[in-house]
Amino acid sequence: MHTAYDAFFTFAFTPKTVTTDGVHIRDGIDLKRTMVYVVLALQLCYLFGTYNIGYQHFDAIGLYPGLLDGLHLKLVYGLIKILPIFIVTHVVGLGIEFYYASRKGHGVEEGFLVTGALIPLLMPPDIPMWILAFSVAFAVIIGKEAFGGTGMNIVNIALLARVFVFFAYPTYIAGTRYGFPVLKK
Amino acid sequence: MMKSGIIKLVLPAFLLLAQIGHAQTPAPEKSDSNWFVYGLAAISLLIVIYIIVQVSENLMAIEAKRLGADKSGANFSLFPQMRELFDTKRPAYLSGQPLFSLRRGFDIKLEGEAPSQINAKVKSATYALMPANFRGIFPIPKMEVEVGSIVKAGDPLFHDKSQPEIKYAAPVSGEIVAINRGEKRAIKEVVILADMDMKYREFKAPDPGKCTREELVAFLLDSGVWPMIRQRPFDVTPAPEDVPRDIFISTFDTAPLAPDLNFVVEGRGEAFQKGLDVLGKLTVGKVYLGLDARGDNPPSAVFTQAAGVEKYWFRGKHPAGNVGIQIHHIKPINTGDKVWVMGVQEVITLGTLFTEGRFDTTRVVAVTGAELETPQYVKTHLGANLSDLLKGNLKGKHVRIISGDVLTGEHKAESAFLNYWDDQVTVIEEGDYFELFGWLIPGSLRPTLSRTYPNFLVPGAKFRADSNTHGEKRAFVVTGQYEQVLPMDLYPQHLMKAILAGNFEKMEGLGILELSEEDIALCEFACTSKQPLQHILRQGLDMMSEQS
Repeated sequence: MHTAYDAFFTFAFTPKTVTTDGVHIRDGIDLKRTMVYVVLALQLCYLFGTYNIGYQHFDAIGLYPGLLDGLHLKLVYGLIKILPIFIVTHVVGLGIEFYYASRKGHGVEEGFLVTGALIPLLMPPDIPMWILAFSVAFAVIIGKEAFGGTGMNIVNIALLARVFVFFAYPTYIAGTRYGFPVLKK
Repeated sequence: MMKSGIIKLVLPAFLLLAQIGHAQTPAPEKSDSNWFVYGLAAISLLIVIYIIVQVSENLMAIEAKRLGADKSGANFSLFPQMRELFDTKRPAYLSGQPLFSLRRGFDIKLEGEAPSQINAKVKSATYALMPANFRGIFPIPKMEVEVGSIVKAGDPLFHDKSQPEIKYAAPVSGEIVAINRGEKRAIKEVVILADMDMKYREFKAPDPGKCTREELVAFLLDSGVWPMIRQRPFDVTPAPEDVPRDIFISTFDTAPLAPDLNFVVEGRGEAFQKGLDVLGKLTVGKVYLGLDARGDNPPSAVFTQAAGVEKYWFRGKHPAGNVGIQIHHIKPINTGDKVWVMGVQEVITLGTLFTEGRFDTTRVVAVTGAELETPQYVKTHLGANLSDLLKGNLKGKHVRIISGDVLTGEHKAESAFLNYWDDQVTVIEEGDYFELFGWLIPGSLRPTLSRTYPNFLVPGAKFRADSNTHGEKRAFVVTGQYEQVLPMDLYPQHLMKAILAGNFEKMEGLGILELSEEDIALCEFACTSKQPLQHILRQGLDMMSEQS
């Protein structure tokens, strides 16, 4: 419990710890800030990704052919698709992070913030949620925690999640259910 | 170099053959496609030439590195480098002497710099010598005095039981008023109440030009100046039988708020030169002087006119003034090498022993920091009392007093004493406060390397840094920050991990012998993960010195 409390507390406040031996002043940067700035930098990708999901959807059913036609509808549709992915990724991934942090007795490391922001960008938008949850759990446990947590992993966790989906469930993401419109003709 | 020659010959030959082969094929009907083919051929020719140039240039650079010729900073490329085209010109006062331009590093700009003027009113009443300042000495040394003894400056106070010939001498004359003990009865400090008029122990110094090295060493051991010499690797007091490969002295300090050594040596040039002469007798190699080439004006003539030494100029941000960085560029420490380093004021003490025959530990100390009413220079002696130096000068109560600079200094109580090597006191604010969303929107600007702070909008700004860690300790993350601030050819993060893993071969291979805590301090400042790098490095060095 303390780990969870600590994680939320340090989210709100930078702790009042002071330097002991070694240097007496420290750079203003910390891991939270580093990771959050990566996530902020990814927001443009999120914006385009959200739009693109909506655009592809309406393109497939033959509505709003122009790039900017029905922009709000395209964005809303994209959000409907991407928000559940984002939420499931974070619930599963952060849940595992919290569990391991309390087990090992260290603070919750911020590395998952970036992983959690990258996974929704990498996954197919119509991926079933249980596959997503599975792949995130696999990537975080086998890819990171098995090696000792943030900074010790030898593969990129977000990419490992994508690779897991690719090899474990190829039929779900490779188009047997929808197929290419061109091929149908 | 052979290889590149072959490549140079073979590749154009191939290209020529291909061209001839192409010319013999019947020409296509349309002239458009002809132009297209010619264009492609021209582009491929350019690419091949480019590759040849690149490969040979890289081979040349590798060869230069292997021979060590690139250490002089000369450009071995076929083309001028960007920094040569756009860099500021070499200062005129260099006049062709070797210069190292170090591009990596970082200057932490802090408030509270001392103006170049000595406040003569500030005097310290008590002084102390602390056994804990010396590395490798047993925590309970053999005392040669007791409380109440009267000593002259230069009289031995104690010696280590394992090396009784190295004497640790009283920095001032007076009465021993206390021998303070710490944990497990370790002797913390030997406190001397100083006389108003200093009395010196009489020395009859041998003439360094005539006596043998053995006589010289015996004299230095007895006079108490020997512990001022530090031996790299490991930063220890050398054993009497050690003969250094070379001796290195850095004549400028780039640490935050560090004293200006040009100002410190004013009027003490003769003693400095004598000290250099003596050091020249102690080594089988040379005495190297690292000089400051950062300013438009040359450093003090005491340094530039120094005789009997080899001079190298350095330009760049901190840690360019660290002697460890300079050794790395002038002549690196290899396995088995022992080199000595000394500070400028220690060299002056050594020199005074020969010019005036007395153990004079006068130190010009910079009292600096944002939490002082008036930052200033004071003239005192080695091991001065901090409360005397800071009397009536502190702005607040909630401050941290540091003996040394903010990167490598030691946190001291107000009643404590200046450490043996330090010529600086820094006072900063304690940072034990919570900051709401401090990781996202900090309340104040702070010194940082990170571009996520808008510090680049206020170039030249000085900061009021405090002791807050600005974040929690985390695992090592590959950010490239360490490499960005360490102007040495080694991999600090890999080294730190090798130390934590206790891997001796890796530690040595990654260059631990070249490092000292002060060199890695800036990496520790910049570290995103708030790792205690100096502490880890010291662990590694202790492990290595136990092994060797």
